[in-house]
Amino acid sequence: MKRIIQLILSLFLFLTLTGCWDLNLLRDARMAVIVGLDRTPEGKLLSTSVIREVKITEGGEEATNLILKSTGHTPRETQDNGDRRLNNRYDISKNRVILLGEKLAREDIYPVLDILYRDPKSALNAHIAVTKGRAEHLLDLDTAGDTLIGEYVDELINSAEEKTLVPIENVQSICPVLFDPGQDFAIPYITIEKGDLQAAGIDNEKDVSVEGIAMFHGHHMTGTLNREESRLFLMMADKLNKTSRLTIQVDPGKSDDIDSYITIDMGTLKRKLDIRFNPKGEIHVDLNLDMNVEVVEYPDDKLAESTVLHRLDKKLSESITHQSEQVIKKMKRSRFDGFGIGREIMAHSPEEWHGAKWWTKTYPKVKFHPKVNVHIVGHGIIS
Amino acid sequence: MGFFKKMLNNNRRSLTSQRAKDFIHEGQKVSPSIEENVAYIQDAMFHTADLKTREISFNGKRGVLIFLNTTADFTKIEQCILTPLSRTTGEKPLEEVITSPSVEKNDDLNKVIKEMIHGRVIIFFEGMKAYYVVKAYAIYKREVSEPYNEKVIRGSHEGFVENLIVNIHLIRKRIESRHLSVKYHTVGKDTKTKMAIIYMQNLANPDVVQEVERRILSIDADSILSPGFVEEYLEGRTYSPFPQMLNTERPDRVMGNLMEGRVAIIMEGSPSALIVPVTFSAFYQSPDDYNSRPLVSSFFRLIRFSSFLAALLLPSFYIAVISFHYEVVPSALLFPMKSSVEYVPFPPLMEAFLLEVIIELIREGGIRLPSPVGQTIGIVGGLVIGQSAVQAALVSNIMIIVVAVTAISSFVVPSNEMGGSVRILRFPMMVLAGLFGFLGIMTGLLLILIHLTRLESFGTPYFSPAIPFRLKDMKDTIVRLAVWQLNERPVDAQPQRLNQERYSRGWKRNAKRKK
Repeated sequence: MKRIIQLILSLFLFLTLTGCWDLNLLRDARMAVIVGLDRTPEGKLLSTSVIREVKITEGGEEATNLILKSTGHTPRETQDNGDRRLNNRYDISKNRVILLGEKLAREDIYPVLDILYRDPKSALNAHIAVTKGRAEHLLDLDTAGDTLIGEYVDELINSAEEKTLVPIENVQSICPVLFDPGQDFAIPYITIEKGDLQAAGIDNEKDVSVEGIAMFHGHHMTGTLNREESRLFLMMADKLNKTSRLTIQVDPGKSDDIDSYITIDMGTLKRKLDIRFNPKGEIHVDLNLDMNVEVVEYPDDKLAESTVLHRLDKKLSESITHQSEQVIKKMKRSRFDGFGIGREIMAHSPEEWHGAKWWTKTYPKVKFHPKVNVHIVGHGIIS
Repeated sequence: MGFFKKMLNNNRRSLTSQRAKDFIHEGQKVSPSIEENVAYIQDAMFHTADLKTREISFNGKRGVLIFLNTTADFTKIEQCILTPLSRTTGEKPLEEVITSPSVEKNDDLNKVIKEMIHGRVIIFFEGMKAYYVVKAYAIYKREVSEPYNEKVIRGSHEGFVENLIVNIHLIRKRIESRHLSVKYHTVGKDTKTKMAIIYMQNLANPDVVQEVERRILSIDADSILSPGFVEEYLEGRTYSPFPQMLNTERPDRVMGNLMEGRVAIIMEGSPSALIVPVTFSAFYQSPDDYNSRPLVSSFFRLIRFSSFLAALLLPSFYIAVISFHYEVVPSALLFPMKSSVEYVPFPPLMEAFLLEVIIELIREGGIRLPSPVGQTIGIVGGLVIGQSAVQAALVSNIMIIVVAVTAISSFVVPSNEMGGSVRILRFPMMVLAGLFGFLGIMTGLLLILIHLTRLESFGTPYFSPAIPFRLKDMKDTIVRLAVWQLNERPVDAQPQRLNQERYSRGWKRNAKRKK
């Protein structure tokens, strides 16, 4: 009898004294799929959220966007200001992409991201990218073709990652790197300009594309690499994803003739990175890359002949080595330590490490010696 | 005050004034007068209409047959008693004349009643202070047919019937061993229901057999209606949601369990056998498993076990997800989910309850209705309610899918009782999920697991071989290995001998040697 009374009492308490009930109904959430952050000319923060709305119609479901803009001094205030104008609860737990306007990215980005790391429900696996110009303008496009902008940018970055055009990074993965003086991160750099198509005289709609990567030093964006440079950087950083494709001019004599170009797909990649210190206090880095590549386009052909192959191997090795040097030069100018040389020094020769400030000054003086060896191992199904 | 007193007394009324007069006198002996005897029996049986008498004469003596025409068989009476009597010439003892297999002589008049109820014929002779009991009972029984609720695709299609003798015969036919032992007990003071404990003398643990007997002997009730009664009298914990005795109508299943050293209890008037001790996994094994190939039956076992989890957890998981943790759902799935719950007016818990109750209504309605109407109910219930409930935005699409999958999963269990247990347990899980999300589900699961590990069935841990763990018994639990790999009996039945199979594929070795 006593047990029954206890049971009834506890059940009653369960149902009435629920305490801080963190009910979080899916029905009441308004979910942002992509968020853009910009600095307004007045110095305020401008947040642009694209909220996915799904309407049930006779023919099925129809998804539309609701673009919500708000300003404030801090990200949280901005978000609250937005929430005030929204009929239900603003929710960023299913956010896919965070876009930073270039102006904002060139400032300290950590204060903007702090809110994401503090909230247990925030989407840490969202992509993070920098837009040329203002992120707001990109999100104002609403759709790209028939695809909603949020989904489009997300998939755009996914496919760029797959092709080793940009490194695989998300909000979570850049966090430790943000606070590591010995390494830096790079995130996709997205444009909405007409770009090369306009140069070719085609007047098309504004299109969104990944134009390379934005390099960061510490908490600040310090420069960009274009698509070709970005691919080479990722190769040297040993971050080859599924594949990577390079188009290289091997016979400059036949200028602008299709025949002078070769397109290769990276098969396997072996990288060796050695750091040497010489008595003068200089730091040398040997970067050896062994690439096994497959030719996917070369109209000149004759690839069955070993002399042609050897010539191409040599030409490609030279060309890629040269380009790599250019990339490294650009990286040093931006003080972007994408290879994590500083971390290597900290880990393997801690006596040579003299602190974060020293490294910022020293890194541009590090001497890199890239050496690329290309071996053509396949040339498609024609011979 | 009188009202409350009555209520607290459960409306118990004094019944002494209405008690009927009883005519039985202790130790009543047979009187030499036939008329006196017949009158006494008629009084003792309250002049029941099916009590019949017939005058005979034998060796010049006047006699009378007395029997119940509802339990005795007329043709047998004619063949075994009347015909031989009419053909006899000369002095011969009655035992030699009557052709029935059993003729007994007795003088306790009170026993007459019991014998007649068992379908025997009593013969009194004028001037004799004893009577003869002749077996002539009628057997009205159903054909041996496939059990309705335990159908298999391959294998034996025999099922028990409502007759104890036939049922034991079905088992004896399968186990032709002198070790197969049957013990009878009679329970129920008025109904005198016959019960049989069946076990293998050389396999079953004597302690278990003794415990079963001890528990049966302690039943002190007027009537035993069904095996359900016996189950509740014998079970360790009646209020546990999990059945601790396996209920089956299949002789082959009983045989398999007997050969593992378990004990079967069969009772007169019911086609199902109760098997003890059992474990949780026994309820997920089907006779079909041993008829199909090991790979195939292992796959179905896995499906059945996952159906347990689905039936128990799917609705509560869905409730927890859409009311607390929708972050765990991938975006591609979340937006369709969101659009379907957008216009539902109820909280998820109530929405799920509504649908679950509707499904239970359809199920319960479907059982009682004759089969052609039952189908209609299925269509009306399933399609019409489902479709229009979504259109009226009372429930969401996905909730219907979840509840439907759950309902199907709960019917996958081969044992009907276990299916019921899972269905019942689902509701507290849903409440916990609706109140506390994943935390509630984990708490609920933990409580169920604690209960399962504590539960015992006649001294066997209910959750074995998982807890306590025994790898060898896992061979026939979640998967089923080939029969020749099941060398040992499962230890959970506490058998006297573990070994049940040696190397039965010697032909393979021999073939190699020949080469």
